[in-house]
Amino acid sequence: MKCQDCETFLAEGEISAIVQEHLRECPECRALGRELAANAAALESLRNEELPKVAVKIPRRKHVCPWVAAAAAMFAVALLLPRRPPEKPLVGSRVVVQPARLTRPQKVEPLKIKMLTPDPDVVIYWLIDN
Amino acid sequence: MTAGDLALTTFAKDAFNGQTFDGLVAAHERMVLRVAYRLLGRLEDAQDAAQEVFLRLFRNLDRIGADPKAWLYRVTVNVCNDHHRRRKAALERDSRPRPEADSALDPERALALEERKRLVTEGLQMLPGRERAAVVLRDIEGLSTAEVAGILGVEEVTVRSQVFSARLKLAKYVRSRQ
Repeated sequence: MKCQDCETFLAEGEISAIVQEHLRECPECRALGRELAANAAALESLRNEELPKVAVKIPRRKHVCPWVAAAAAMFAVALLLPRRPPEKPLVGSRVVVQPARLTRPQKVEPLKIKMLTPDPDVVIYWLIDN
Repeated sequence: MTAGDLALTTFAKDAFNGQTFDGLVAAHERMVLRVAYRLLGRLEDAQDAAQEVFLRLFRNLDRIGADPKAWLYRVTVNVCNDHHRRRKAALERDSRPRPEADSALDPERALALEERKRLVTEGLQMLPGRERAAVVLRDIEGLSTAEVAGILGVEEVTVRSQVFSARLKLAKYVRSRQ
């Protein structure tokens, strides 16, 4: 067997009887064989080497409960609505009595507020009587 | 299916995926970091690469298939290849002088395992990227030739050739440093 062939077998880890016979006769291939075996052991031992943990930082999507978002939106709208001015006290006012008129009550549509939530499937309607 | 059902399904899927993701990170964190470290040679770079690998895992959780370990190996190798390419120029500029071989050292003396590990680790960085990936997966990770071929997307004969070449180069490198 030629040294080149032996080198191939050694690097592939195939140590047959013919290779062993060549190793007994060839000090160079024997040295290479020892080197490869020692490297293989060193590489394998790297598998068990302790390494620090990875601090995995994944930007997670924040989940906002739709009902919490809706409640917050309602509160914000309530703060922005115009408030009725306080009624003045009836001091020194004159009471005028007028004959009652029968009128048909006007149908007034309630104020409708549409609120969108982060979830496109959830829409909140808020109806306010005038 | 109502909107509520849909929302519930989406929420359950997210929760399930979240659990799977954390489980996968816990199970494979060490492996990803170890491979990245051996491929890149620097712990800081390996940690960056591992971070990138897990970010890709998070984004592709629905598409990783039945074998997450093989997927993680493949992505780790790809991320490290990208990292290595970006860093190569900087490394060449910043190459520190290598210690000269000590001729007074007894050539017959076997290197201590720790010293050999250091030299092998150093030698890995001298290998071409494909050979380095093949030998790291085959000899450090202990995967079969077929598994390595599947991960790297090459034929088994190519893996055998790369591993063979890498082992000989490593042996010569270590011998030159003794």
